[in-house]
Amino acid sequence: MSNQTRGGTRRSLLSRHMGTLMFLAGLIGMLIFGWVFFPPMLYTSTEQPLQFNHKIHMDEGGMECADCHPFRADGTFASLPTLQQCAECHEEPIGDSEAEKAFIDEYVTPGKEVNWYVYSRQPMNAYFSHIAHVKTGGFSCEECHGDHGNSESIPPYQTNIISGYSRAVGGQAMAGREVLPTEVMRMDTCSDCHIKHGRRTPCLECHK
Amino acid sequence: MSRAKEKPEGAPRYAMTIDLDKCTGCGACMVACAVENNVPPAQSGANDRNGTTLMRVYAMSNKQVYPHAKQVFVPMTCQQCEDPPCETVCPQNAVEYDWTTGIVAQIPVRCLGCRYCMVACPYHARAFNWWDPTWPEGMEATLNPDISTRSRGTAEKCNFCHHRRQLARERAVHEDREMCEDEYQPACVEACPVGAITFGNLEDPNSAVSKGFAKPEAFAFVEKLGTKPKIRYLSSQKWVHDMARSGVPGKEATNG
Amino acid sequence: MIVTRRHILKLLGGGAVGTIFSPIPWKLLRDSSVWTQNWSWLPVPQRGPVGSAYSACTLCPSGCGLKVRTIGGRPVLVNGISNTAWGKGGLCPAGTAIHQMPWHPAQLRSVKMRQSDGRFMEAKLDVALAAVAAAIKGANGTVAILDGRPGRLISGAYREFLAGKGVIVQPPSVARSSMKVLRSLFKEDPGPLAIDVDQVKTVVSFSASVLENFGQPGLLQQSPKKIRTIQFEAIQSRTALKADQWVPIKPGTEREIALGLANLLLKKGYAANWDEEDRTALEKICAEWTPSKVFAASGVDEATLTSVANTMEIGSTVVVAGPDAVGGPLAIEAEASIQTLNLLLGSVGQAIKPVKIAADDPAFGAIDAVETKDLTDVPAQSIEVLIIDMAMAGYALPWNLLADKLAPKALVVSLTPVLDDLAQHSQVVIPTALPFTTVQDIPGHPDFLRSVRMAQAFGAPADDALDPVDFLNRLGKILGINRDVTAADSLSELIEKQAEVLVNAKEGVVLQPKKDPADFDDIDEADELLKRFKRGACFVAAFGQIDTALKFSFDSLGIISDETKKHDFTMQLILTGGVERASLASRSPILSKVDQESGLNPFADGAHVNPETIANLALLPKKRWVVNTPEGSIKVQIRPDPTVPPGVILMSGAPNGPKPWDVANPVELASPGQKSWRIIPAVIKEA
Repeated sequence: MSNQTRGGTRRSLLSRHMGTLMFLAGLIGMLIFGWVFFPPMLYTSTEQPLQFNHKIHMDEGGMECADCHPFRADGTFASLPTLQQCAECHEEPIGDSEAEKAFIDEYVTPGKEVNWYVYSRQPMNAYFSHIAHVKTGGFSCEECHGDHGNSESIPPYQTNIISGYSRAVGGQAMAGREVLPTEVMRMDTCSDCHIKHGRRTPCLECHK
Repeated sequence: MSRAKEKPEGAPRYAMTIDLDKCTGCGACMVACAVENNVPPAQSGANDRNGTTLMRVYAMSNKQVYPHAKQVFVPMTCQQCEDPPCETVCPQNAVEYDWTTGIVAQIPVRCLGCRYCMVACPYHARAFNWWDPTWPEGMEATLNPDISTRSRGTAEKCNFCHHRRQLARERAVHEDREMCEDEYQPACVEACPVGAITFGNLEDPNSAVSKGFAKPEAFAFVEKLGTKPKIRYLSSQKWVHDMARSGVPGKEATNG
Repeated sequence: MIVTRRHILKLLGGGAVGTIFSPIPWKLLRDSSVWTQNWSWLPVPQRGPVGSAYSACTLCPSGCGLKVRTIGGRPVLVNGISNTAWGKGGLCPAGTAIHQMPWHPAQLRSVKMRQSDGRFMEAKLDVALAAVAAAIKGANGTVAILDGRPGRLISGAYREFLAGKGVIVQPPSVARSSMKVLRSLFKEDPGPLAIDVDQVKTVVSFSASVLENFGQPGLLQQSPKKIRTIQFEAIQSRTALKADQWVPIKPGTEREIALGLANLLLKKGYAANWDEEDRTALEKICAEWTPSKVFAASGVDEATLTSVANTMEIGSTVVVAGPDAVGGPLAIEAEASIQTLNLLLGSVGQAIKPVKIAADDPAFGAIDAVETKDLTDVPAQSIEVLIIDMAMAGYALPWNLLADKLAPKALVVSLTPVLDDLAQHSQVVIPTALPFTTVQDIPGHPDFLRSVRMAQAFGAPADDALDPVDFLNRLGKILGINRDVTAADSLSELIEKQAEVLVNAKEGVVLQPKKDPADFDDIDEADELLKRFKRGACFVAAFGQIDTALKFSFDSLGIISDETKKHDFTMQLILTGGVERASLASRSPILSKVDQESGLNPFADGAHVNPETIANLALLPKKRWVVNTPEGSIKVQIRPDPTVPPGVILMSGAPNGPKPWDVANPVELASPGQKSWRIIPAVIKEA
């Protein structure tokens, strides 16, 4: 395209640089879409069936992580507490929260287990030994799971629509630059940490 | 490949002996292996060549006529070679010789299903999932959570029930002690009603397998291929040894 | 200002570059690849706390002990336990998968009744029971209950139900078990007998699968002492291949060989301290069976026969025969001749004190008022109503044998969890609980060991499954029967009553896994005994002396049970197989691993034939072949098998049912009127 109109006058600034502008528009448009609008599209969010206040249990209940998330007699990790464990204290309402009332009415009384969504549930082909890391490795719960214990509510459970993984496992940030287990729990996270600590592991160590 | 360089001090090397004089070919090991490893019942088109059998019992005969015919039953599973051909050929690195246990690890989730490993394995120990796993309705409740279920299109093989070792180690850590070797036994070893299969640590000179390996009646199948299998079969019958040497009927006497 | 195509292209180009620098393609790629590793249709095994429970297998009479591994309360694995009264912790392939039985695809979900057009339709329980009651009321002929596993608590209830007006029928494999035959050789029944396995050094077996699934698998192999086995058998079965000595014989000549051995043992003076009359009687029977006559009949030469006889020592040798799970019992004269050897060898030295347990106990029912008959002794066409309960039987039963005994228009009722062979021929089929979903008392092996164990229930039976006690109660109510002795509403109640009887009797010992045995000083309450049963305990009755004098009767040795008719069937079809091939109700679908995906067990349609015979008869694989017998034909695949003698066809049982077992069952080729169907005259013809 020439920079002159048929009438001989110079084309407008806009006309002259339309190409570049278009390019930039496309570039910036996609960048904005990719970084701002696309990420939320990838995830669905579900609320947990009940709200739960960790802080009250730790402060006023005087409990620690291992009281509800213990190791069983055979060394396996008990993950989330069973209804029976909770019902030991919550047969009757202790506090005055809505969540507790809902818990007792809908779960304790009819004897139904709560279907919690587990944020850090790995796919079935991955094996992770809590006791090896906590007891032998000396890791504290917060180092990998964040300061859950001091939270007053539990966040919604976000899953990636395509992969089906929880966001805590698949990673929060789009750039994929997280390295801490508190942000992401992919295979690289585990193996990077292992290499850093000089424990190169064979495949079978973590896969089943 | 030098395995010795990578092996940590004191790490075990797991091996197995299978006594062909005792094996009656009942198949309990096949069933126990399928139950332990979440293998579904056979599809209607499945046979011994395309079925998913991580442990498969063959009948081997001395090719003579009645009443001089003899037969032995050979439970054949992954021989956990020290020099596994399947590891070399895998384009996906889905197979790895685990230097901490001596087990050749097959990770089905990484496999893309080219089946090159099945071609490479001289023991036909590998199986391919031609079908997605399906169980009769509701039977999924009996699945073992220590093992995943595998989709079609992946190869798989015996991993010496490695998940059982993990569980045994967890128990040992919890009880502040070392894991005893007896605590880790694959499903087939436990299931055999006549005790034909023994399993243990080859690095321990006093273990039953080490002693079994040293017996004169112990042999490996097609040892000349140099895969260095870690399963020894025991038989007091010479024809079995001869046949195992060559794998080709009629060539038993020679080495080729 | 004109926007041209070039501008659009530049817009798109900018978008493409922007996309590359945005997370879109990378995240999509990464997440898609993860998605392909976790297909949604793959079942995800559920996690949970690991537990264990004790139980017992209810698939066959052996009742092997089970240690059940549970995850989140769900059974995922079973192993054997080695404390039980006899057994070293072995399990057969069927038992290894018993925890999958509750999801058996052939499980019955409703009562079925056969309509006039011959098809089964779903029916209501009340309608079915009314039909059965009407048939019982209006019966002119015999009302019979076929009890496949006598000695259970329900067996006593069956007797009590029929008291005065019916017959308990036993399958021939049960009615002619080795021990029953052995007891019948005594002039006065000595009661249940025992063999002291600790003293056994040599086992001489006649076609019995002693090294496979005889009793509990691996029983002999796991014994601390090396036991020498000598196997007389026509085919080279697994036992024959593993035995220390295999003696090939002509099919069906066990009796002749046994009498020949008895002859030699008598000459060695083994009956020296017998009653003179008995000794003379036996000598007379055995006299004709000289080694040369034995050779002519059976093919066992004199040297072999003599050397085996020399190996058989008094007090440490036991002779074993008995029914095959698929092929059924030997002819009674054969079994009796074989058991006579046990009398000569003094292998029978101990009696088991007849502790009053269940079916033996008058408190549990009027047992004397009910006749018990071997099915093959029932007069032809005499049964008008037949109720079949083959739970835990472990033996196949050819329908033809049963059909022969049924009157025209007889009503056959099957109590079964799956639509098995016999149920498919019945008019009324009532679903009962599948193995592993119901508590079950496990009496000792019939006529052999007096023991009691308990199988626990894991999960629940189908909604429509009927407890057999409930079945009898309802039927009795319609018929107006007064049942006040065994008054119980369920099998669990009967088990509780049995525990009370045992605790009050104060005899015997209770073996426990990983613990010392307990006696009834420690266990003084029924609840305590039940608790121990749930933890894998096994009650064993005490041993004592044989009360009756050692006087014998050898009449049964002279019986000729099956006439040899002239026929053109030049080959012999031998039926054999283990418990897991005997019935559909004993197989989880996972056993298809062994059937289809290994060369081990002959698949149902496999006729194993000697390679020479295949060559001689030109049985080419590309043609289709049929095995013809006097009773019918069955399509087969010919499989060359060098362990089968020439002229013999070897087939195994095929539990009927959904594919891949959807083939005819060779067991159905047995002739009605035949006392033994181990060997069937046959010939192979082109299809």
